[in-house]
Amino acid sequence: MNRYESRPEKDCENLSELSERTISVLRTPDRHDRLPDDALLTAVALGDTDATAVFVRRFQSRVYGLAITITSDRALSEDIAQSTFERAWRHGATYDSRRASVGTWLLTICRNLAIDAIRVRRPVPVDPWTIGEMLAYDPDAPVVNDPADGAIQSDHVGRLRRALAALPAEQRRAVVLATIGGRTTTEIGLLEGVGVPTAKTRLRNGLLRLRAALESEVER
Amino acid sequence: MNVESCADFEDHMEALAIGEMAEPESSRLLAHAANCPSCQAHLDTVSGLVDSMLQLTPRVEPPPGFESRVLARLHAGTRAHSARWRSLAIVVACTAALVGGVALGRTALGRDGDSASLSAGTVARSGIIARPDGSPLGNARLVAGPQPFVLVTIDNPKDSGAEVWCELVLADGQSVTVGSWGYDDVAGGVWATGIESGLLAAVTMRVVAADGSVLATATLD
Ligand SMILES: [Zn+2]
Repeated sequence: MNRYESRPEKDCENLSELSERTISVLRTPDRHDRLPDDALLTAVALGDTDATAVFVRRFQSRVYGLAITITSDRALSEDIAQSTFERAWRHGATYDSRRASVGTWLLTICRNLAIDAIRVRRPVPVDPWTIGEMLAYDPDAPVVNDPADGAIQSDHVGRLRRALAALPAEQRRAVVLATIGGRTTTEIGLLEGVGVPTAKTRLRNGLLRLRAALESEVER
Repeated sequence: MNVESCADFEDHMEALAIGEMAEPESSRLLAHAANCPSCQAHLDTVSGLVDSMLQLTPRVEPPPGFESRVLARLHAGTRAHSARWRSLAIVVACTAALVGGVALGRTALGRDGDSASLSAGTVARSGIIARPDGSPLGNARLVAGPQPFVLVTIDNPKDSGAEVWCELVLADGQSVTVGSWGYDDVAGGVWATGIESGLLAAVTMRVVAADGSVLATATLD
C-alpha cells in the first residue's frame, strides 16, 4: 500500500490565512484544545451540526447582550440574536480573519440587524440599566479576563477599556451610546440635552482620542 | 477628488461609520470613498474603532431554550443551504469584495440570500461515510482551492482509544493514505488535512484500522 503523509505546500502564496490555520489546527495533535473561533466558523459554514451548537453556545450571551442593549426589548432581541446566527451560518464563508475577530464580525452583524429593527420601531426608550452598565468603567479597576476570550483578545479588550476610561465623560458617553448603544447622533443629542452638532463633535473627538490612546498603548 | 467633496465626506464620516446615514446619502458617500484613498483610509480607521467597541458589549444570557430554537431554525433552512453547498466558498480572501466595507456585516451580508460567489475553496466531491452495516459515521468532503484539503466530520465521536487512517482511492484503484486521527483529534467532530490536487478526483474515502481492515467507506461524487 502506498502510504505517505501529504505535506501542505508551505510556499503557497494564495493560501488564505484562515484555511491555513484551520487546517493546521485541525491537524495539530495538540489534543484537548477547543477549536478556535475561526476554525469553528468554517465547520459551521460547512453545515456541521455539532460545530454550530458549540458556536451558538460560545457566542450567544454576547450576541443577545448587544441586541438587548440596543433594543431594550427581549422578544425582539431573541429574534435578532437568532437572525444573527442564521446569517453567520449562511454567510460564514465570507468571513475574513484579516479584518476582524469572529466575535467582532458576529457582533457587527447583530448590531446592523438591531439598528435596522429599531429604526423601524423608534422611539426606543433608553434603558438606564443597560446604559449604566455600559458606562460603568472604572479606570483603576483590574481588568477581568473572561476565560471565553483568548489571551490576545483579553489583552485587546483591556487596552480598549483603559483607553475608554481615559476619555472625558461626555465623550465616553457619546462613543458608547453610538457604538454599543446603536444610537444616532440625533438621539445622543436628545439624551444628553445638547444639540446635534455638539453630539457629533463629542463623538468625533471621543473616537479620535480613543484611537490616539490605543496607538500609544501599542507603542509602549 | 475635489476638496469640497472631501470636506463633505469628513463631515458625515462618523455618522456613516455608526450606520446613521440613510440612503441615498450613504451610497453617495461610499462612492466618494471608493475613489478617494485618504477618505477611505480614514473611514476604515473609524469603522474599525466602532467595530472594536463591540468587544465591550455586556453579556446577557438569552432566555432558556435559545440554543435549541436557533438550531431548529437553521435546520428548517437546511435544504436551501445544502443546495448552495457546492458553490459555497469555504474559505475566502474577500478583501476585494469588501472595498468600501464600512460595517463589514452590512457590506458583506447586506441582504439575505446573497450567496458567496467567491471561490477560494469549493467542495469538489463529497459523500456520507458509512460503516459496513450501512450506519452513517459522518461526512467526507474534498475541497478544491489554493490548498486542497479533505474535511471529515464525525457525527458522534466516540473514544475507542485507537488511531485510524484516512485513505483516498482514485478511479484507477490507486489508494493514498493522507493522514490519521485518534479520538482526541476528532473529539470536536471535525478533522482535516491538506491533500495533493490530484486527489480531488478520488472516488472513495476509506477509514482504515491499524491492521488494515476497513472500518467505514464513503463514495465520493
Ligand atoms: Zn476624499
